[in-house]
Amino acid sequence: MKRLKAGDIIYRLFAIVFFLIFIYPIYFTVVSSFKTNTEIWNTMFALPSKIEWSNYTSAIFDVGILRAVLNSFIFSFGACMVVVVFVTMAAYVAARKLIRFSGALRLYYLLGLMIPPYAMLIPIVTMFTNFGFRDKYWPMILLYAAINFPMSFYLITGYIEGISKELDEAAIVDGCSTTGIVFRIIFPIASPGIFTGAIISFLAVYNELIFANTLLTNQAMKTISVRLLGLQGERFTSYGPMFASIVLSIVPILIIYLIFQEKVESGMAAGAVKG
Amino acid sequence: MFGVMSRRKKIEAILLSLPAFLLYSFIFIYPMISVFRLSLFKWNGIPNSPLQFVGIQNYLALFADRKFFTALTNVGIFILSGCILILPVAVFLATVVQSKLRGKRLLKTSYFMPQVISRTAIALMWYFLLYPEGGPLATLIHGLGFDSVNVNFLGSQTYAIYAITVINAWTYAGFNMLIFSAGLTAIPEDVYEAAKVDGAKGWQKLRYITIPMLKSSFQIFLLNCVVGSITTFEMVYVTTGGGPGSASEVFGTLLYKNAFTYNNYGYSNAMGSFLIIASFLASVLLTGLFARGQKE
Amino acid sequence: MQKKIISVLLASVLAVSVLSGCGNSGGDSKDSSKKSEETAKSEDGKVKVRILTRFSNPDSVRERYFMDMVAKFQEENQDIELEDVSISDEESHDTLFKTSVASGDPIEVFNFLGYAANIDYVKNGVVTDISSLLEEDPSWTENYIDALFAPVDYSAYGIEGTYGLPTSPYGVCCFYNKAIFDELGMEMPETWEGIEAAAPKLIEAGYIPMAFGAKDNYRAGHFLTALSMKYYGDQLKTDLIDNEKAWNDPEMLGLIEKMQKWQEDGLFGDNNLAYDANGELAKLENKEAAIIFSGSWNIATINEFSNIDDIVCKGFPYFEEKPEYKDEWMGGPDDFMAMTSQPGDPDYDATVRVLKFFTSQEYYQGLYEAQAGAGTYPVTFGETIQADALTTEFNEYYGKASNMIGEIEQFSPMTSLLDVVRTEVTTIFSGDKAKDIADRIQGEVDTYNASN
Repeated sequence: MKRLKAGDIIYRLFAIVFFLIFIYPIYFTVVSSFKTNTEIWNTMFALPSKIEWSNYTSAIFDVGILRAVLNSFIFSFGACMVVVVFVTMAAYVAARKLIRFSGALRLYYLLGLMIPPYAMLIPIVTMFTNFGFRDKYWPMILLYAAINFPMSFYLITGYIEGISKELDEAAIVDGCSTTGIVFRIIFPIASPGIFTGAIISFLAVYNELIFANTLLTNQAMKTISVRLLGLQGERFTSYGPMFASIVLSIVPILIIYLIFQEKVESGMAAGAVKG
Repeated sequence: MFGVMSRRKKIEAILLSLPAFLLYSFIFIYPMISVFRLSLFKWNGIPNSPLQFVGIQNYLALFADRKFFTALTNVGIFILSGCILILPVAVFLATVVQSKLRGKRLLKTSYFMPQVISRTAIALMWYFLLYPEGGPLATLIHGLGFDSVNVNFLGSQTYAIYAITVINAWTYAGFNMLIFSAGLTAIPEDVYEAAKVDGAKGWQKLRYITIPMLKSSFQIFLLNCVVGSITTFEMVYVTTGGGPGSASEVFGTLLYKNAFTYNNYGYSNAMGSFLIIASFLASVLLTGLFARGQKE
Repeated sequence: MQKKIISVLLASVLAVSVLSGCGNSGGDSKDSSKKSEETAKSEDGKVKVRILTRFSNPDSVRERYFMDMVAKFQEENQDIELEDVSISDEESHDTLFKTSVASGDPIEVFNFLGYAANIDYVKNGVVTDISSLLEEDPSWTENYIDALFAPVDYSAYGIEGTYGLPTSPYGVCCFYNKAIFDELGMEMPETWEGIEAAAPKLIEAGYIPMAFGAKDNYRAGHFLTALSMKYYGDQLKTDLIDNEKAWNDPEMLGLIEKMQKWQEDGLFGDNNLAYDANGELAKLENKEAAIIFSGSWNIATINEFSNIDDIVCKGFPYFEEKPEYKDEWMGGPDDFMAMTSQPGDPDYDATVRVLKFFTSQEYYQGLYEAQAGAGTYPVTFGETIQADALTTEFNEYYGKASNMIGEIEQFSPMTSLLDVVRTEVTTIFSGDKAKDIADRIQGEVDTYNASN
């Protein structure tokens, strides 16, 4: 058996220390969500002496966190559907240079990757109310689709470029229209790339705060970020339900992450290399 | 016959590009132009009150604002903290997930997890972790015997911004880990083998092989770090809102406050224009710089 | 698992695009976005009216009462869809209203803050003049206290009319935990000199002399105004608003210096930026704080404390050296129920009904009963309920008030001044020096004056 060198031990120790650093805040939140108001403080690791389920009933019925989770899902799923359909069509045309100015168009979309959408907050807010778009699902979904469109466009165009042209040429000979090629041929082949784009959009929308916070006024329309933010001013002294709300809002997204781990990670990494 | 077909195909291609183009132009580009236009006016946010053309006065006010320079400094702190804190941690974590350690899948998951959690939830979690009266960090610091340490980090004008950069590092380290881990995968194994034959030690391998070969990963990191720091907003907004006082103000919080608290919409749009131009320039200049470095 | 989900996803996308078959060019045009008409009527023909207050915390008695009344209104008025968009947090509340105004669709019924700081909303016709409505229905306001309408009277600026109905008036006061003082064998001090003398003993015994939840930045603003009234009466306010005096002149600077000194001496305890007004109440109930600086709006909530018998209400402390200003108060009308619908709007009649409901004598009668007579009201009642001890104590002081003003910054037309002063004064709790704070406030005022 090979003996471990001191350097190796230190290396492993650090790996574990970082593991603890990243996991601890979540551990603390989960444990605290089962504690009473006073039990939360002055402990670091202790488990609850008695499990306080009432925090969860309060988070569900008083805070209405499940409704917020549902809203976040609706916005995320809607936006990612719109992104997928629109982007795949546009990305195919751009990747195959089917129209003039394809290159210029790509630069035009690249702009969207460099500029923070919230810089346009005021005109967007004005536009939304001028058109009566506030507190409605569809406009919000389209907004999120537009914001997340450039990133997915970049990812999916790159993916389609990697697909051999022979396939579409064969389809053209068979009398397939371009639209037919996009949805019947490219879509299934490019699905890993498209799915990566979709999941990245999904995550971004699920966690978005700024636009949701200014455009959604109706209690029933609020997303998790808005609801959690509102809790700060509302009931700052009942901590248990607050922790329970945090737990309920992050559990669904963590599950999605764990299921699609590879996709999420590769998509995020690819997105980072946009420059 | 063929001409007709190709013309039809062209129209079809345009139609396919159109929905995305319209959506993006209408919701992204059009508001962007509005920001530039409205930044030249004074407006209190009430539709019936007229827009008052003031030329570049909003920009002059912007550059005369003490808080603007606080924000500038804080962006600098964000960039520095990225290089000092996030960079080494991310590189280290990348080597862990690329190593042959047992349980590295679990480690990778934990390192990356913060990235998928909403910033608001993260801010709330850390608010409690840093809570000065009985919060875990306060308990730890006092438990170690440092009773005199002021543990109210988010409530301190000096430390608030650093506390936020730590939270920020916690959130983004896993994301940057991926950049470097992708870079590490790209280094062929035989380079190390050859170095081993030449008798290279661990740190020598790091110094002469790993780091030079990760060059493009470093560039990507730097680009993300600079642009991300300029445009940082949510993290500050949900933790301190720019306070205490204006100690942790960044461009985003100033934009928000000037519009929705001070009714200074023109000024706020000037801030928006500044942000658009600054992040655009940073992206283009850095990319250009790296491209030139590649050629030489 | 992953593959399955992906295929389901793809299948659903394919189903969406099933029309685009081979050899069939599908002109896939985007659904034209929804019609942009001002949706006064919802799908089922109901008129939609939104109401925005600061009442969304069910733990507070009067906020819970409001929420119950929203439900009641909904039940009794099936033809109106009343949407309650209330939000406790002041900043979020203001942002919500301002974005709704900026986008040209202001929330129909809302809490208007009045005063000069908000004159823009009146000048530009956002807030509706309700004087003709009040004339048509004299019984509506017959029991209202007339003096409370002053902040929504803009006739001094050449604008006639009435722009809202006062909600519950308030007074800034202090609550004492008598048990602590009894335990230490001390009298409850009612002057700043007395509090300064008592503070070391309280601190030594492990109590916070006066809890101050600076996480809410309005706490610092309220405190400063209350302090200025006890030291200078309302003269300082007038001088500051008229630019006769600067914020960094000795008068205001001196007051900020006092706050700073008290903070340094530990009078306000530690970690003030970590807790808010709710935290103050918790500290009073948990016997951590001997005194909290608070206001009449919390009386009903404090009445539900487990140790309510220990709690005593007194006026904001005065200065022994300034007995002439002992009864000068920060207080008055809190805010105003106002509306933004104009005659002729499709939702005008419905909005008037909502406004009337939430400002009616019955509404306040119900609140009066729900709070068992505790607190303050904008109307007088025919039959008075024997109020609880705290309210009685409060009214004893409140009744003696010789003068009463809102927060100083509200009197300035500079909208941002309120937030600037509050935020800057709050930095006392993160170690800033009074002089720097005063200079920075005056700097903002100078910038404003230069550009207007």
